[in-house]
Amino acid sequence: MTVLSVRNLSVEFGIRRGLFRKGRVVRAVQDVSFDLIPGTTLGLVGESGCGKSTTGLAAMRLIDAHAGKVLFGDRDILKLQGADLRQMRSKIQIVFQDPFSSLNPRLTAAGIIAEPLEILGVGTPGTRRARVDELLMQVGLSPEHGGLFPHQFSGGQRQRLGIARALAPDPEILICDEAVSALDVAIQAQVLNLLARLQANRGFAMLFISHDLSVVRHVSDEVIVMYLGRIVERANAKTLFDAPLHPYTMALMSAIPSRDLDRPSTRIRLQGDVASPINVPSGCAFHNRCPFAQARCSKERPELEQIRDGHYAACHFAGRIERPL
Amino acid sequence: MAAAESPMLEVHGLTVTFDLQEGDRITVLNEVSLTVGFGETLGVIGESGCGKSTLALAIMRLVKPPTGRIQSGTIRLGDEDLVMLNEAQMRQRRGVDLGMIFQEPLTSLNPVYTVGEQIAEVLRRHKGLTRAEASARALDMLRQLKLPDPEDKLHAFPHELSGGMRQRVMIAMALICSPKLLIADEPTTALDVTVQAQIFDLLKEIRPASSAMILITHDFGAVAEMADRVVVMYAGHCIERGTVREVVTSPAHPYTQGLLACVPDITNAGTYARGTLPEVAGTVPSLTNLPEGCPFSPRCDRAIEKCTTMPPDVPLGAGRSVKCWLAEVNR
Repeated sequence: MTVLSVRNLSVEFGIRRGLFRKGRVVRAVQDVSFDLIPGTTLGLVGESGCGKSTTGLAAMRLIDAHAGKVLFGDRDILKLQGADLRQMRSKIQIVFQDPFSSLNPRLTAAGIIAEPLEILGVGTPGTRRARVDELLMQVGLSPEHGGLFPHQFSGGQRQRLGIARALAPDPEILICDEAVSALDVAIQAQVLNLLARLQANRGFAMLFISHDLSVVRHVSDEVIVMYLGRIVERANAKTLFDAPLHPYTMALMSAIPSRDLDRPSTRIRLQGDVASPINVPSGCAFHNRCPFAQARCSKERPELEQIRDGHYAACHFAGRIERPL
Repeated sequence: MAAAESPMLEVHGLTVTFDLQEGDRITVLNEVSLTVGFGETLGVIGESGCGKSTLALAIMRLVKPPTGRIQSGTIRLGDEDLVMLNEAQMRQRRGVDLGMIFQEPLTSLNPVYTVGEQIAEVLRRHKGLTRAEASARALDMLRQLKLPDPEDKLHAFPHELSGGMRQRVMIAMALICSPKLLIADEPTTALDVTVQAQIFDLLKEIRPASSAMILITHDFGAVAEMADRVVVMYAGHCIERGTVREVVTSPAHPYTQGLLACVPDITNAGTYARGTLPEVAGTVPSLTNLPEGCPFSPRCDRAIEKCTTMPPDVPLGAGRSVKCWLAEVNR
C-alpha cells in the first residue's frame, strides 16, 4: 500500500550569469523515483548538494519540478492548483532543519500550531484551541506553553513546536528535512523517540532527509543514497548498511568516525570534494572520486539496477567490489 | 603517550565569567583544570553552552573585558603563565606557540585578501620573512595540505573555495609557524563527512610529532578517532576525564553515560529499537539559573540527597577522575 509515489522526478534551476552571458542549468534532482508507505520511514541520505532536500521540497510542491510525477492516490500533485493544491498539502507536511528561522517570531506557540488549521478552515476557534492543547501535549509540551513566543523556547522545544505544527492538519506524510541536525545529541535522541512514538500512533509515512547515516539507519525502514542529484543506491536499511553495493555508500560509511576503538582502520578515502551540480562529471558522476573507477565509468552512466533482491545500485561494478572493512 | 612530569599545557582552576546586559554575571568556566602532554591530543567534549569553546578562547586569551573575564586560575604553557601576559606579549604567542582553527572557516577568513596573502601574513608578522619568501612557504604548506592546484589557490579569495578547502587554508594559517599547541574548535562540524575524514587525516599527518592538540567537539566518534585523552564538560565544569578508552568503554558520570548511549551508532546498529533510544531527560540548565550543587542533578535519574551540594573531583586512577557523589559513595 503506497501513499505517495514519486516517479522520475527532475528539478532544474537556471542560473543567470549577467546580461549577455548564456545562463546555465543546475540539475539538482534527476530521475528520482520512490514510494512512501504508511507507517514506515524512507531515509534519504547524502552530502551537501546531492539533491536530497530539493527532492523533499519538490515532492510537496514547495519548489516546482521540471519533470516527473508525484502521485497521491490517482492525482498528480505536480498538476494541482489553487484550493486543490492547498487541500493536498494538508496531507503532506514538513519539519525543517532550523528551529529558529522556521517559526514565525510574532506568533505565540498556540498561534503557530493553529495557523495551518485556520488556513485550511478546519473546525471552529474553540475546537482549534482544544486541538492545539492536544498537539502540545502529544509533542511533550504542556498547554501552558501555548502562550509563549518562539524565542522563549529552547532549540529542542522549538523543534517540538515545528512537529506539532506539521501534525496539526493530521497529515498522511511527514517530511523531516534535517529535522534533528541542529540539535544537541541528548535533545536529538528525545526528538527521534518522539517522532517514532507519533508515527506508531498515527501511522503517517515519513520521508527522513539527513546527512547523518547513523541517524538514518536508526529511523529508516528503507534507505536511498543520493549523489549529485541521482539515486546511487537503495535497499532496506539493514541490507544497505550491512552490505552496501555502491562504492560511494561504502566511502560514506567508512568516513564516519567510529566510537569502536578496536575497529580496523582500513578505510576508503575519497579524494577531493563533491563535484558541483553545475558541472556534473561525465559518465558516472562519482567516477572522479571513486577509488574503484575504470575507463568505462567516465564514459557510460550506470543505471540504477536491481543487483540483489530489493537492493538497487547504480554502479557498473556493483556486487563485484571487495568492500574493505 | 601522556607525559607525566611536565605537560606542555597545564590549565589549573580556570574560572571565566561573562557580564550580561541585565547586570547578571554568568560563570561559563568553573574551576576548570586540564593538562595536555607533548605529542598528545586531548578531546574536550560537551553540548552547546557547556563552555568548551570559551575554554579555547580563554587559552588563546581571547576572552576579553569588559564582558568576559578570567577571574582566577592559571594557564601554563611551558614555564609561562599566559594569564599574566599582556596583550602585546600574547600577540607574540598566538600563531607562533598557539594555533587555532575555528568551526566556520568562511567567517574566520578575511574576504578581501587572497588565501596566499592571509597565510603569508602570519609568517611576515611573526618570522619577518619577505613577501616572496612567505609566499613560497605558503605554497609549500598548501601542497602539504593536498589542496588541488595550489598555485592557483594561492591567488584565490575565500569565497572561491569549497568548505573543505577553506578549512585547509585555516589549518595552513594555524600551522605555518609550527605552534606547540593547536586548538581545533569543532573544525569539521560545517563539513560533509567524507571531507571531515580528509581533514582528520591531515591533522594527524601534518602536525609536528612533539606538538599537542586540543580537539573541541560534540562527537564521541571524533574523540575516539583523534584523541588520546578526553575531558567531558557540563555547564562550565569538567565532570569527567580519562583516556579515551576508559571514558568511552566505561563512562563513570551519569551524564557521560547518557551522552554515549543516546547517539545511534552505525557500527552498533540494532542496539536500540526505533523509539527506544536512551534519553537524557530535560535540557542543559541556563547559566543564569544553575541548580544548587551538581549542575546535572535535576536531569540525573540517580541523584541522591547529597547532590544538592557540589560534588568533589573523585580520583579513579592516574589521570582519571569524575565529579560525582555516586563515585565518592562507592569508593
